[in-house]
Amino acid sequence: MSKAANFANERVNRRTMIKGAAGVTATGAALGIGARMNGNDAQANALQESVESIAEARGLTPQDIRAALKTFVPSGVHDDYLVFSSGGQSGQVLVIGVPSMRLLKVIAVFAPEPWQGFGFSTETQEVLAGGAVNGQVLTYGDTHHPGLSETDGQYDGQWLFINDKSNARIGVIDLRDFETKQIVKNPHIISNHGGTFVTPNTEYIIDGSQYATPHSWTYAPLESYADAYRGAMTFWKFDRDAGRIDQAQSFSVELPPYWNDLADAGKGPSMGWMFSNTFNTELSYGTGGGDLPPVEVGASQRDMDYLTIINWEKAAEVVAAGKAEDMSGMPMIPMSVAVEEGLLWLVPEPKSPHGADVTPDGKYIVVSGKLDPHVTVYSFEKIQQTIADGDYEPDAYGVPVLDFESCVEAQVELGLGPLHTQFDDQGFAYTSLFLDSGIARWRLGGEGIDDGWQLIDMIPMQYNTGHICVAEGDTAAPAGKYMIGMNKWALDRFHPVGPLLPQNFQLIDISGEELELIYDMPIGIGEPHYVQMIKSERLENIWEVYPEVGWNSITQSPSDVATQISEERVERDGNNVTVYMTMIRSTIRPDFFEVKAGDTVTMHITNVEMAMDATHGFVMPGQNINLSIEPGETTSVTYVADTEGTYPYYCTEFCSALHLEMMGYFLVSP
Amino acid sequence: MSLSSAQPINNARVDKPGGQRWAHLMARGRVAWVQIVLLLGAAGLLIGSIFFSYWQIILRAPQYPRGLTVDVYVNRLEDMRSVREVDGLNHYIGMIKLTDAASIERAISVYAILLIALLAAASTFLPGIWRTLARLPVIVYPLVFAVDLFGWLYYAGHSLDETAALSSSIKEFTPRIFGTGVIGQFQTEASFQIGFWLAILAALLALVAVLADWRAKRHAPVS
Repeated sequence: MSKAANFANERVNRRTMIKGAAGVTATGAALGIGARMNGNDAQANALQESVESIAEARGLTPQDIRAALKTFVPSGVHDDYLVFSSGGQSGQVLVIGVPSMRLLKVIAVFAPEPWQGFGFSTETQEVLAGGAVNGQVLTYGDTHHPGLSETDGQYDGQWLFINDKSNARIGVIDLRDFETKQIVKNPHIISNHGGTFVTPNTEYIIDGSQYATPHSWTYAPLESYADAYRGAMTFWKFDRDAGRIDQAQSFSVELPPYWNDLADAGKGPSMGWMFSNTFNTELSYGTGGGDLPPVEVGASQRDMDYLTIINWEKAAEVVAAGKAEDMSGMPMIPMSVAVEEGLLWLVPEPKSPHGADVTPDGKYIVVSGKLDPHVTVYSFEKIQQTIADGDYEPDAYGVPVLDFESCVEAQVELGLGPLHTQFDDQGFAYTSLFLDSGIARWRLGGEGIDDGWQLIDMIPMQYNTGHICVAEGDTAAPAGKYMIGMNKWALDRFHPVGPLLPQNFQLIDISGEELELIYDMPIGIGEPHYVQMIKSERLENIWEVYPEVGWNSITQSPSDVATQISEERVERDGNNVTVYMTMIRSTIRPDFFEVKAGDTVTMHITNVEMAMDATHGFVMPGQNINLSIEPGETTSVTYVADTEGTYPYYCTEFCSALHLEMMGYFLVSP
Repeated sequence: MSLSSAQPINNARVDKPGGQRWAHLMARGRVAWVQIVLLLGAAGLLIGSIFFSYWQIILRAPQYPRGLTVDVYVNRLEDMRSVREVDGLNHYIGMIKLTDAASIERAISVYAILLIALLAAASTFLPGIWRTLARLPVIVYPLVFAVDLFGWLYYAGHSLDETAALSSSIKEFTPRIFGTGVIGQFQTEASFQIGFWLAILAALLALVAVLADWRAKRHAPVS
């Protein structure tokens, strides 16, 4: 009981609680529940009584009941919104329904995932290999910021990108089958906190370096930090038709060795520009093994860091004009060229900023101070005017720093530790307050708004909110209604599960006068950073099964090793054995094959089913092989049968009543 | 085509007063017109029926909330995903594949229908008994289709592979050609579709033409 009461942040005695519950249900009956019961008073009364008795038995407050009614999605009914969430260190992406907060899927991106067979089949191993670093295939990722593809500044529901901060990689997910198709490694930088953010028509995927290093994985002593270390902002070109990032058309802009944090693309009047905040303009690199202060101190000395402003449209022209340098196979615009061409600017921003978010109308950029209780709002128009007025001084690297006062529209004091800002459809902005553990709602200002740029209210969060997400709240047309706070700590919110605690996603109804907490969802698979929430109706091209039998889901085209029923066979070529296999409820064909120890076995397995949900799994014991072959899909795997023995292989999905019979024998003879 | 080219009808080489003969010719000509229109209509409807489903079976089970719908056209089955799924399910009880059933009929049906339609359309220009015989196929065609369908349903339900996985739990049966049936966890719902009804309509039109022809003959003056 005490925990339930704590949950609502209030102590209620049983008597008021039940009275309250009765009030809620009476209201519910008056508002519509009674009407749904065809106006039958007896049924409405029975409902009220049953709600009261359930509330009493479970110790629920009126707020709890409201929250339950707002989030409950009946069996068989789909959610109104889908959330694509970073899976944090799991290297995956989570798909969650809103308002039910039901976990719908975990999409493997940077890490092998057996259920999907990701990283086990030849095709998906090649995807992982695309993100190899110095020849080493990595099997994890520190996923941070999912970015849905956009058309005209709004989510189009076609593609999803996500970064692996720790290795500066980007994963590309096709939203027809929710599967990762490509991983690219940034050849210029090592870590990329500033990804992924898309430009309004997904022309580019923005990917900013975090920790400065010498470019392209080279060595330079720490003492040479100021001279040899650099940042970069990479613009990955996305080819929609191919469904791939096109590295040949991508480029980077060289930046001073400040640490870039989050970024956002301009839109509307600021189309063609992007904004990223930086910290550690102090050029701290820690103790360096000596007496220098550690980074947390060294990088927090100056009162002001910089907002980095890049004209990416102009940068693309500069690259096209051949003014960039080739670096590790991808163009890099040298800082000097970027300055000369007038495409790179800085403007001071308060101490150690975190989020940089462009308002839906594209007129303002909101930056959170992190160690400053304000959000600072820059006017894009004023930035342009300041540039035109020549009101700037170069920093130590010759990059022009615009006058702070000339660019700022407003500063709004919100609370301690402001991090990230999102927007709704009512002219409000929402900013997470990490230290105050809450989310502030404030009113956007600007032309024709007299009471803008001021704090409205704040909702406490449990606990330490990082990113937040309002439905489509980073697009040109936010949807409002729901907001999720992604809390770094859960503390007492859930049943103890040992010292490693889940993160806590809290769903908030933002449609009313009061911000109302309506759901807590534990995330037990990594520490998510950012999420994006999209109207589910925008995801209209999702496949139920692959388009035809024998489909290569990575190339998204018919596989050249597809096998139809009756085409199953075993081919031998010296020590190489190739098995063309089909799976259909409840038979694997062939259900027997034998090789000599030491033979290399390649299997091409086709699920010849076309029925929704008729997925077959495939395991080969002792070979570290676990595959998922969805209806219509052809999947391959190669292994060396080096140990003689008898291996029963089978389907790992309970596909049919005779699922257990869906097996075969693989023999390795001496 | 002119009326006078309808030779078999234009046999009024009878000695009659001029006016009466003319009226008789007109009456016979009108009958011929009606028959031509009826039979062209029948031929058109029959050819049109190729593009519509003749028969449909819907299988419903808990794990198929949308049901599995198979439409039988004279020359094909649709949709192939459902057909594939039904065949997959049927293999558990050892039933022949839908795609293997009536394969000859499906292969020749379009040609046969065109021939039947052509015969019907041309029949009015044929003499005597040939005219009626040429109209017979379009009239009996729907019945032949239904009997053939029933035959295949009977065969499918009575040629179950005794070694199939579920052979012990499903005994021989004839799937319902019309109405609802139950097999395992499936409820089946079979019905004739628009293509079949078009063929029926074509048959009725042809039947009317035959009756009109007979009536015209019966009332024709003895030569």
